[in-house]
Amino acid sequence: MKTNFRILLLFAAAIFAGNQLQAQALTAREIVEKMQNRDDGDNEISDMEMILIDKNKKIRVRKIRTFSKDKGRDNRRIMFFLTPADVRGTGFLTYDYDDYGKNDDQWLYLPALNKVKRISAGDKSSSFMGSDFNYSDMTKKNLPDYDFTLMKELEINGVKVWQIQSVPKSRKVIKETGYKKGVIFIRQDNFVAIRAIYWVARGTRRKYMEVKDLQLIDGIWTVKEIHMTTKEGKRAVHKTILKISNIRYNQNLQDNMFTTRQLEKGL
Amino acid sequence: MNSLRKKIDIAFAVLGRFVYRHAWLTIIGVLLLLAPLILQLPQVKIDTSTESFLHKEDPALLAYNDFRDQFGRDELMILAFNPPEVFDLQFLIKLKEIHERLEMEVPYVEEVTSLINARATRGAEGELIVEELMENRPRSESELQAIKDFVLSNPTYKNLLISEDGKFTTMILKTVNYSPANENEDEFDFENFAEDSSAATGPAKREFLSDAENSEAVAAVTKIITEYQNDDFPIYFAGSNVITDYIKRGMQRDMLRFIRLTVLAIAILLFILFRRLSAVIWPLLVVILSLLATIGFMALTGTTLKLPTAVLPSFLLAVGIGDSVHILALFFKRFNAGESKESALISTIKHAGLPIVLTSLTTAGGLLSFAPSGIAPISELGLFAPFGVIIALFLSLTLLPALITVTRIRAHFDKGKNPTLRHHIFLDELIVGAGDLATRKPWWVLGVSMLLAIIAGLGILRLNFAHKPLEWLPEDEPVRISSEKIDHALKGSVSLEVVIDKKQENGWYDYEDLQKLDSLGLFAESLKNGKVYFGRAFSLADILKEIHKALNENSDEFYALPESRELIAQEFLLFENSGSDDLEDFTDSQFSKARIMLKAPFEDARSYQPVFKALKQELHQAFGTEAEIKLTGIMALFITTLHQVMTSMAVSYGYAFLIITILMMMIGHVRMGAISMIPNLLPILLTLGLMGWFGLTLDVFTLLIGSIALGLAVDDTIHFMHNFRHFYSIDNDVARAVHQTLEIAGRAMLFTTIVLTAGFFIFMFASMGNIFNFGLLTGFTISVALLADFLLAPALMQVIYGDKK
Repeated sequence: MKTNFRILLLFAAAIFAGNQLQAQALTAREIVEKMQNRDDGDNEISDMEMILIDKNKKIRVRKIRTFSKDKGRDNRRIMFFLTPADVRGTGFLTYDYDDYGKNDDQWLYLPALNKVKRISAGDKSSSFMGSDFNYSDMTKKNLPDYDFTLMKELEINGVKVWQIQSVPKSRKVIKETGYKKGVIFIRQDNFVAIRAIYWVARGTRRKYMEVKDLQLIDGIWTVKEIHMTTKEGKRAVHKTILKISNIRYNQNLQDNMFTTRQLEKGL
Repeated sequence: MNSLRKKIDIAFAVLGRFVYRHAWLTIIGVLLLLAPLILQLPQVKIDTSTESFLHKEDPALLAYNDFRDQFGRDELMILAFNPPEVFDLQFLIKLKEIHERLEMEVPYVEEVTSLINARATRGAEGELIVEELMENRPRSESELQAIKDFVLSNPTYKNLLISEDGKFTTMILKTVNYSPANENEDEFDFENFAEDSSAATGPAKREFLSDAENSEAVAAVTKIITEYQNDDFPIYFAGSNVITDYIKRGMQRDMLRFIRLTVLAIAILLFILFRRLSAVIWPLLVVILSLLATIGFMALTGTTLKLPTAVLPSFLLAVGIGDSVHILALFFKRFNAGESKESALISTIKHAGLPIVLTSLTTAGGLLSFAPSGIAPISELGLFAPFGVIIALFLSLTLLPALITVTRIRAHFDKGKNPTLRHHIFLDELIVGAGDLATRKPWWVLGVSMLLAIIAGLGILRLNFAHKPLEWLPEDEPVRISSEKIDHALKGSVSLEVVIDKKQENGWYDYEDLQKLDSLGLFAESLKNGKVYFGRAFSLADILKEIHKALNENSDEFYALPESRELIAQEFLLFENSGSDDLEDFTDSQFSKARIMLKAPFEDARSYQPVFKALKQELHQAFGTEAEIKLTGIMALFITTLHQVMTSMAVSYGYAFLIITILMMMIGHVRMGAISMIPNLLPILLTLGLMGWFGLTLDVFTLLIGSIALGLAVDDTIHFMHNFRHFYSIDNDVARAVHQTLEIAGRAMLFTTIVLTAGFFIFMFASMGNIFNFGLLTGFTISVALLADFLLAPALMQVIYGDKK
């Protein structure tokens, strides 16, 4: 499956100016397609602050540095934990393939163990780094797996959006993504998904995603802050705030940056 | 005293006259008064959960709720399968099908865990594989064998998903923690999303999954497994919440059965006694209305019907009818003798008023002694049953005479020809004969009583307290068989939960503490007391050992805790990232709390105590100074419930004795009141002794017997003493006074006792053993109390007052 780290955070894409004119006549499916295919930059380095808030309002903060590079239609990404101190240097290397039939490759490095391990993890419904986001949130959807419905058009914070419902066509997809239904709010001007609600496959939980800070950096719509709240009924049981900083695009990252050797070497 | 008595009688006469003259007004007024309570009836709910036995503010329950808020529900539904071979393709296909159906079709299910989706973390050269055990269906015998070897060699699954011998496998259903009621899944406010999304996190007061919702889930599971189950493919289904569901259904069935039978018994007895339709219908109306008002009052106060309160309806019917019987007996005696309806009615109320108020007060007093109980339903019984008794009294003094007034009735003058009368005369002779015997040979009666008391006393020494809901179920009941099977094969179906809070962020990254945690688990597994042991301990340490082993090429020597703090932290991070949310079941997000789950068989709470104590001691030795330690879980609730049973018993017996003795002394003579307690206490002593000798235990039901029986038994004593004093004051001849007393009151005493005993014996039709025992023993106690009034009370009077002549 094709994963792109920032898309996952954004669910969103900037589009070429000319495309905006066609927006009126788009079907739900086309809108989602444009969202997924927007330019999300390449060759970038960024720092992410992950703030985890549990049901007792206890807060944990993790800082992660990410390097990312597109390889054809695939994507490669290497991430290192900066804090907390106990896990500093823990790294994950991911090769994300555009081909939906092909599983991602992932390696991890635990400095205290001093070993690189290939991880074979099955489904994408599992939590991303202990946050409320799961791996499928960070992965492009295989559109034929879903039925999309344009529910309505509305304005959020003065910007016109489409409200689109996505329902997986098979139980397999539900199991893989961990969601049985989603409602996504996509901005009409730039095809960035700024809100979403997901129905967790098992139990009664729902997850609420909201982009809190969206900026145009180097011509690319970039999510600087995004929240994901897991709720049971009206009550939040867990919440993640991701804050992205120091984003630099087009850094001319070399291929050898995305190797297990680099993982061992660390930052 | 006598002038006061006269004044009271006159007041009752005034009441009687008012009711007679304004009969319709009384009827309408009374009905209007009761209507608001009766209209609440549809709101009444039943709750038989393990928690329902404890008061909402009981510290043990609060600790349990805290635990559930943090770690989710500890009560699990367990399905156990015992196929010819677990690792057989056909069986696994069926297992998968059942697994998926349970996931899809059972409401309120959060997670189904079985061999199909069990977390399988393993290592290979340079690789870490985190997947579901049967992510890919095994295709060959060798693949099956590989899975079998992996499962049987992996300590993670032992006694949780597979029995030690590999013959049983389980499927565990965890339901959601909170009730989703009023939280419609498909409706939310799109417009206020932003505010919604940033809403503060934090636990609010939320309702836990309710007893009714639990039952829905149990029913859905039952429906699915019956489709698969047959003699060759047995499926065992248990777990404490499955048992409470069974108990609830049993209780609902039983309650209706008790009510029907009690009404029938009362109707028959009333008809035998009075031979009139109206004398059957009006008293029944009185008791049924007071029952409805009482249950309505419970609904109004939000009190659910719980297991021990299941006896309340039929109990109230039987107890409440006594007042009506006394009134009707007196009324028809006068009315049949030719008095006018008005005069008969007024003089009946005048003379019966005080005695029935007094007997109602003693009954209510005995019941009220349950109010301070630490067992919630018993305490509620102590509040609502007296309420019902007082309502029945009120209706007997108002509604009943009003109904008689407006009913067209004719006097029966054909007394001589009535065949039942000869029967009555025979009974009278028997009763009076008993009294005569006692006054002739008082020391014989006292001696025999003393001997019985001593034998009973020895039996009481053998009495034990117990709390084991499973034993209430019939032995051949599938739920009980399943539970015992699972307890045996998989070493437990309930859990004790230990939470060790270091109150320090990342406190559990500490190697030494994790090691202590691990040894505590092993220590727990080594404990044993008869049938009680901990079949499996599971904690953070087990999770860490599992991942450490997997990261080290699955080498068994690495099934151990890593020593470096960094490595511990990193392995936990890896685990968090590996897709399993199991960590949140065993620690909080700060790693300051650690939970140890200890699986234990569903046994008597009393036998839990030694291992509980030993574990507690070890825990405090290990972490006493540096952490807060809490023990909770269903097993801890059982232990607390048992403790509350014991204190409730002492408190209730004490209060009942005190309240009733005081009432008896207030009624008449202080000395006579005190003496009159002897024939009432002896039956209770005998019953307790009998229980001791027959190995019956004191539990949430049997502890009720003493105070209930005392409150009811003294009613007959009141009648006896009331009349005895009257006749004794005439010529100070004890024997004659006893003779006359029994001639006048004996028959009424006998009849009310028969009604009450029948009311309690009806509980012997219960599907649950504990209610059977309760009914049998209370009925027995009340019958013995009547015998004591016919024999022991006269003997005592003879010995104490006989010389004065």
